[in-house]
Amino acid sequence: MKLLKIALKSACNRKVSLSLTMFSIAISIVLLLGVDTIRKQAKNNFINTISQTDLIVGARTSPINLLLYSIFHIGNATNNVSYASYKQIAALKQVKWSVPISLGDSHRGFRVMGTNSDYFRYYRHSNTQSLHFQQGVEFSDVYDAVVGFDVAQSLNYQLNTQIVLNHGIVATKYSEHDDKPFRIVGILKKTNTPVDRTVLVSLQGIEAIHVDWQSGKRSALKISAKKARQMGLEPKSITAFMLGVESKITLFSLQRKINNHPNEPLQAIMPGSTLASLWQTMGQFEKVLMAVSVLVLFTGLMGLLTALLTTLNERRREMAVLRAVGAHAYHIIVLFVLEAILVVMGGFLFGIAMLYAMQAIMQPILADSYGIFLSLKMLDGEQIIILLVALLLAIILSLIPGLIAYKRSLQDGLMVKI
Amino acid sequence: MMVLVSGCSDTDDNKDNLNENSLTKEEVEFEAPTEIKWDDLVAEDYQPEKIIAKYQKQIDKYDAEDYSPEAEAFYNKINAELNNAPVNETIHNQQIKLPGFIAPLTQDNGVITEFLLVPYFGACIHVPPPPINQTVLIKVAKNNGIKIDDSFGAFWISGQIRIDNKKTDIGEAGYRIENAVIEVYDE
Repeated sequence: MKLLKIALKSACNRKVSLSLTMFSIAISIVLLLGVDTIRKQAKNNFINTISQTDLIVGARTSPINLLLYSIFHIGNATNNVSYASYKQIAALKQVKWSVPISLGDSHRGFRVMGTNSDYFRYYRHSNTQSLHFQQGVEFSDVYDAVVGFDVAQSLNYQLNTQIVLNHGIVATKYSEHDDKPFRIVGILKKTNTPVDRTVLVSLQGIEAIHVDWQSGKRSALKISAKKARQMGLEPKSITAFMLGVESKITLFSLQRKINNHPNEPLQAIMPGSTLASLWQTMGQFEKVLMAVSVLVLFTGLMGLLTALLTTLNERRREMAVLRAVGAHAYHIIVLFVLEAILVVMGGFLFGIAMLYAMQAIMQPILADSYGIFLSLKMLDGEQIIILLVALLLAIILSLIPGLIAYKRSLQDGLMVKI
Repeated sequence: MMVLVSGCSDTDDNKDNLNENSLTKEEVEFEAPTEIKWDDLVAEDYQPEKIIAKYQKQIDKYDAEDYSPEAEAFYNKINAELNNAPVNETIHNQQIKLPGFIAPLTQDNGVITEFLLVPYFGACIHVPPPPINQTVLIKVAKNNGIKIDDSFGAFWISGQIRIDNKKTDIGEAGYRIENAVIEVYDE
């Protein structure tokens, strides 16, 4: 205990340089643990976003692209799928259920997805969870909308709130479908998937708002909301659809059949396989990030070593005095080790505090742009091991100046020549 | 000791095994698995050469580069017949060990619990798929799932193979293994 007190008091003498070292270690911890946390949570989110769906079909494109835009709402579809092809495939004997989806509109930064009531029946996430309503019900009228939890929360929406959808993903005044407002009839419970940030409407609703946009921009010949409602609103095309099959062993042949669909180029993917290959790509990137973080930690520890070594000379008298009042030679080493531990632990505490602060700040940004939902959690086993290894390394490194001081103190005695 | 079962020549022996052992559930579980090959999953009376021979004259008529709709339809017809290879009934209920690649179907928090086993890699995404009798639907034994990150590469799958004889309109009979155990294939 006395040794600890001495170590603390001695450190106070050099608090500026030691604080800076502590700060650099803190930053390296933020980087190391931050990268690890985001990586794990992103993966978790991705993995849990969709389950129990056997095939996803869209216009022919890369499988990863199809997965990203149809399920994660990242990126855009390259082309649409004709409703006729969808109906043809959905009617195949191997298909048990199907859910059409239509993307392309947005509402104040949130994606709008057109679908039908089968979405609420068949969509699953986190292995077995289906969608539940916090308030309200599914859409039934053409202009009904159901919003995800985050949409309602961040925009302060309640049931019966009127909202206006926007053409395209970025909101501008001139691209709003403001002549056809929608009414919120349902708000979903939190799912921790991109569904939270989605506005769900019926396929007919999507058709209705585009009825006078057929040329790609709003037509001068306006069709009112009331009139549109009475028009036949059967969609002509959708963006993608999800399928469940009767027997999984037929998946490959069904996938092949869809990929060879004669009327238009389609791509059918098995979400599990595509997700796995996406993760294989990401895995390389993850490794690079971890390597960089480890190097940064190494830099921080080098800083600590430098701080301890450069002050060795100044502390020769201190060591000599301590020896004179009865400190053993090995106490000198212990002093250095204690100082290293103090600095590193200080760095850890500071770093972890910064980490949580940054996570709290980044939470909405990551969710908005990347669909990554960070939940502030305790450090997990792996992360604690990282910290312990860093501490161990610091202790080992501190033995270097410790041993040097030890040797010198043996040679010097009280006659210190500074 | 692993015994390589060659389905084509040991047919009678296999049939005897099935009858005389009358495997109870316990016996099945304690039996050491037999290593089999993908060819063993094909019924031994399947002879693709005969099918090709049947159409040989017409095949010769078409150019290798013929992409006309008739040629296309013709090749599709042959392929459908070739793919219609039936399952090998004699390996039903045997404890087997088969190497292959994993095409994930269901995962629980990053651990794959159900997948299709295929003979070659790349079947997962967009290469012509293997026929029904060269695919096995696998459910892993409890706590024997494999993490997505580790699921690339070849694996030995051990378990009792069954033939799903629900030959209804919607599904074709296929192989399945419940309670499978996964080991890395390193040879």
